[in-house]
Amino acid sequence: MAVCLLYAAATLGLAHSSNYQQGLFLVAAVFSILALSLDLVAGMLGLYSLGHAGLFALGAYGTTILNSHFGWNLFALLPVVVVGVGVVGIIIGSLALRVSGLYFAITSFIFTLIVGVVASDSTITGGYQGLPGPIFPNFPSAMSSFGTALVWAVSGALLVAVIVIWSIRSSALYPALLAIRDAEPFAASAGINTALTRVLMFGLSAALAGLAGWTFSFLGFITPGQFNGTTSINILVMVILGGMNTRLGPIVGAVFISLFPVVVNWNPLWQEILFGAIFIFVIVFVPEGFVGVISRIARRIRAGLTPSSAAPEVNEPTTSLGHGSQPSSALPNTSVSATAAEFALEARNISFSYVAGVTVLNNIDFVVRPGTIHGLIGPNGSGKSTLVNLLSGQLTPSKGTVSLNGHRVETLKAPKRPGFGLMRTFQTAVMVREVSTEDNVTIGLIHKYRWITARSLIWPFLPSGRRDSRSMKSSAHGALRSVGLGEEWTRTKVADIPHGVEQLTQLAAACVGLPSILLLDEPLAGLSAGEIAQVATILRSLRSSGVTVIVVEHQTRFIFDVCDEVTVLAAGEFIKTGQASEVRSDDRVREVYLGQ
Amino acid sequence: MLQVLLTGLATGAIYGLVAMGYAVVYYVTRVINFATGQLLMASIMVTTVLSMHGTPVALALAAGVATSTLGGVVVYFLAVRPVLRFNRLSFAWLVSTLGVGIILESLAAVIWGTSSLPFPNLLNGRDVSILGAALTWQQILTIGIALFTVVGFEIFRKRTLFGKIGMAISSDPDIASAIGANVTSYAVVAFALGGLLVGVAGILVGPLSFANPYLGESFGISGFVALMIGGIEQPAASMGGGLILGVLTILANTYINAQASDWFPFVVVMVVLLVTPNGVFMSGGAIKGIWRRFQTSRVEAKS
Amino acid sequence: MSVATGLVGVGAMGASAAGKPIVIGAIAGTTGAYGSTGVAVINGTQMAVAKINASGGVMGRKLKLVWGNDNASATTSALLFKKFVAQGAIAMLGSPDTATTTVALANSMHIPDLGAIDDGGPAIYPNGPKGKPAPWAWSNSLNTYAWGQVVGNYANKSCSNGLAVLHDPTFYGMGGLAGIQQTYTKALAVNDSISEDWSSGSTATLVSEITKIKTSGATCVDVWLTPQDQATFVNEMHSLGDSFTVLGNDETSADATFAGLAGANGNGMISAELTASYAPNATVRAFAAAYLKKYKIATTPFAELSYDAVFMLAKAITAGKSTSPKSIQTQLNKITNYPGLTGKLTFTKQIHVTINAPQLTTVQYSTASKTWLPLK
Repeated sequence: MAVCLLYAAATLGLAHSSNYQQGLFLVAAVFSILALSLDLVAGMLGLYSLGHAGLFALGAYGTTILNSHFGWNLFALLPVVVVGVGVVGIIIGSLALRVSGLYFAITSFIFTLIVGVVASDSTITGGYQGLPGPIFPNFPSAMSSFGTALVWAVSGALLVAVIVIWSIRSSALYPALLAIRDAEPFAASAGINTALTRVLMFGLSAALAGLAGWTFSFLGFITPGQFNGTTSINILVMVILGGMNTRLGPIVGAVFISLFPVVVNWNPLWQEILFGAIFIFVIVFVPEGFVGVISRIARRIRAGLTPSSAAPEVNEPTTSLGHGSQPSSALPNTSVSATAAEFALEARNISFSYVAGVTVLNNIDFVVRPGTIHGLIGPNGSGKSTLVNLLSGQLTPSKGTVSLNGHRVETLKAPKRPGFGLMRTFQTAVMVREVSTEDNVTIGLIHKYRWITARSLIWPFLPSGRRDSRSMKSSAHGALRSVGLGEEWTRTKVADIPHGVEQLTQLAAACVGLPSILLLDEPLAGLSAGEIAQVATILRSLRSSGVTVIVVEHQTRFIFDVCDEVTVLAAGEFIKTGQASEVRSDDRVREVYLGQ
Repeated sequence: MLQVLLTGLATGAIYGLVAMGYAVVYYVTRVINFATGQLLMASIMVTTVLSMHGTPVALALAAGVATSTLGGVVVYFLAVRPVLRFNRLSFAWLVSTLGVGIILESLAAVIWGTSSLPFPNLLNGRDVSILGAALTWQQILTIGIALFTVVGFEIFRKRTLFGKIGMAISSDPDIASAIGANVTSYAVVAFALGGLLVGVAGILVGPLSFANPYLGESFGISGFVALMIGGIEQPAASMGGGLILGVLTILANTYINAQASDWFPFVVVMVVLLVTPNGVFMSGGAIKGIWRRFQTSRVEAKS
Repeated sequence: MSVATGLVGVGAMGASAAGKPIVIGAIAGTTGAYGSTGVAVINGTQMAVAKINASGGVMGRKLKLVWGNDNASATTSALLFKKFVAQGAIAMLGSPDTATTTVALANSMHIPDLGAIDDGGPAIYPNGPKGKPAPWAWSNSLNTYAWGQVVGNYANKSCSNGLAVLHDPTFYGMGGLAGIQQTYTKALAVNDSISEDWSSGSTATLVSEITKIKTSGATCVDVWLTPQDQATFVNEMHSLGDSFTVLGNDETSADATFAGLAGANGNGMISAELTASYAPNATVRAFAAAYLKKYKIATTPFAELSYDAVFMLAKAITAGKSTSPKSIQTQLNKITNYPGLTGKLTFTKQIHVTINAPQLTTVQYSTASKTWLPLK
């Protein structure tokens, strides 16, 4: 509340200041909006877009041309431009999704260059000379004590951008975005539609760039030179130099880079050299950017004040899966309720090849009865991992069907499977290293809540948002407790935890959403004997809660100890399935796998 | 038509050399050196200024190329190594290499002024007629050097131990320490090679572009676009991208209008990207990949 | 080569007893490939301010100059304009690169804008040379219309096989084209818009254009591009074995760039110069000597016209006994035949450019003497 009043007071002050200071504010605010919008896709989603200058140009030129040529009202233009550029963003996002990383950056760069060429060579855009921008109307004389109306408009635009971006950062969506960036298979298996989320977020980012464009047109004049490739690179530099993926970083970077050439009035060439030198020094010494400088100092101070804490211990697991309160805006949990289906998971006639002619799986049947622990074993190259990926939706079988609790799912991609009660873990746990274990676990809950993406834009202001955050956190705590990780682990960053704890966290993330079928891919890799025993206990307690567990493992002693039924594959062929004891003593199995 | 092709190849050879300058560095270190264009400018400026002060031309040329080569190494130690040491996956080198580029540009302007200076003219002279098309000796030399560079680089990469380790590091940077290779020395060589390539490009294009501190930006962007056309995975492919860009530019200039070179190459590039997102010459070849997919679908249809 | 050091607020310090200093602003691009133009503008302005203050100022008040580098960016230019107005500037000088922005702001904020305004032409007369000029902008700059008219006149007399024109698509090139078409009576054999690379000032190749001109049969070509591209053109023309009569524009002979880059191939290049610079009188010679002494580089027309602009501004203030914008506007429009470094200069309500075709001398480059010799 106090912050709001302060902001309003600052705006009022600016609205009465000189034309020049208002101009500075406008430029700094516009670039802050652009930097914030880019941080959303580059910092949080890892999409390094060099196309934001092009989107910015569309907003500015769109506003100017539609206003001066076609007489559209400036305020009506605001939603038009924002939505219009947002749609362009969605189109670019969908096209560019096929490529990642560097190629996306380059494709978006080409987009900026093309927009620049169109702006330079068309008559309606004024060619190289550009166009005079629209004049922002002033307040009626009754409100003249508020000062220049334009300042309030700029202030409002900046506020909107800050609210949207900061809300997303505080929302339940934030860990999911980072997961899409760092650990996409994990995000997809947790039920997040990664492709759609990326496109939507890029569209949102583009919409904000359009807002920046609308605001910028009131500076006085727009020319193609203001929206070229260099501008695009500068926006990215603002984000990185200020501090990528931070609240204030993009704003600090934007203010510095956009105002330096105007405010610093020393010697034109030497101040450019200084400018370049600042880039190098800041990044080399504090790669997290300007904001990083401040946080490093703060950390030093804090470290000096607090005593060092001992590493937390991993507890014995609790005997039941106490999860805390049920999520209230959750979708009805159809999975754990009693199903009439004979099999929890039923895969029939599965065949698959990665490359034409080389069959990896040949006509496999794999069925799992509900409420059992079912093992899947086989020597290297037997196709176990491929089968797991087919069951969880990372791959689609060339032939055959997969059913979960009676529903046919083989054509559905990975994010759709949690809706049918299936959650999985991965051989090498890849989670979001820069956030805590509890945040990573909440990712497993996202598919159970409605409208998270839409609500994330104003999350802290929504009672449902705050409520859902609380319940997600408490469910996450419960899940972590149930795998033996107590309170002292919940806030620790995944980057700082040992491997065994990471595996358990992954397990907690898979369990937190109360799946009816749990698919574990080599969960024991790298665990100590004590940790393995702990996992056995966890699996047994899951079974007693009615969860069907499928375990793929190399450690056969564990499998035959813990599993009720076991299936054996070798060289893509089905060998045997049945009760654990039966399979263990089967001659064929011993020959093919146990080497006896 | 032959004229367009040859002139385009000569123009494109320059873009290709710049693109290779980017690609070699990226190949080994996964870094894009944003000061690449300014290194090209440095070689042109040093050559010009030395020759204006009486240095024999051959020496001036060598000095120019040496400057950009050394410049590349300086960029590594100043702007890239410290950043990568902190976090191998960070993109902060974008900012620091850009900073070096800004400094190089303005420093050159401080020392030598902002106006263009004449580059020592060696071979421009008269044109040679090849089957009806006219080409200057400079252009012929440019195309020749470009081909030599590509072939030479491929031999270096595939046949020498250094090159093979470079390939290994490129596909898995962690391997480097595992096999006992000194990552720093490979990176230094990569940056030096990158500087060398654009230095050569500089002395080849100098007579046309003259010497100006602000050349770096536009050559840097053209090289970047060429890199993307050819595909970033293989430095040799980026030369191909440059040649394509050069031919497209001259084609557009000649057959559409003089302003078409602004947009025509980009439109083509966009189409290329939609069809083969990883560049025309991506490893394995776009054609092979499409053929394979076609085969798979035919097998599926039959069964 | 020296660069003007960028100290804001050059000029006599402190106010005279009569009152506070009169603040004037100057905006020009002093960095970038065309930085030398901006540097000349600022230098000339500074010399004028110093001279005026040495003789007692304007109406007994000293002039204070605040200036900034816009680096050809419209954003920076707009912010600098507003900054200087906020610092009290009653008039603005410039900019050679962002004139559309400065003129637009001059018109909307009612602040007189003078001096080196983007090579004159369409920036001042957006509706063509016969239309109404921008009410708040007066250009002392090398007027592209005027130079174009000279080219057209020459072509009428000496280009019986036709004239080709290559020009850039901005106001700069379009102004030249308009000037040529005003006086050249026939249709142009070739009329092509060439995109130039502004960051480095040189385009990769003009070979296809040369072929096109040859095909059209024209033997004269006006290359209305940057001096760098003009040099590239003559170089490539030479290497292809062709020889047209090549004409230039206002920048060709303004400084040594073209001559230096074209070398021997520049022989015969036709351009035009301000008669006042070409055949300088004592005042101009004195100015050139003082300029050389102070800045260690040779003067250029951009410095001289900026010098003239400041003096004309001072005259307008003195004549109206006021620094109010309206008064300056009225008085500027009344200045007739002011004896400036660049010639006899006049402004009226319709005439907002000082340089016209009659004030130019057609010249031709001779590599033998490394000078521009007059053409009759």
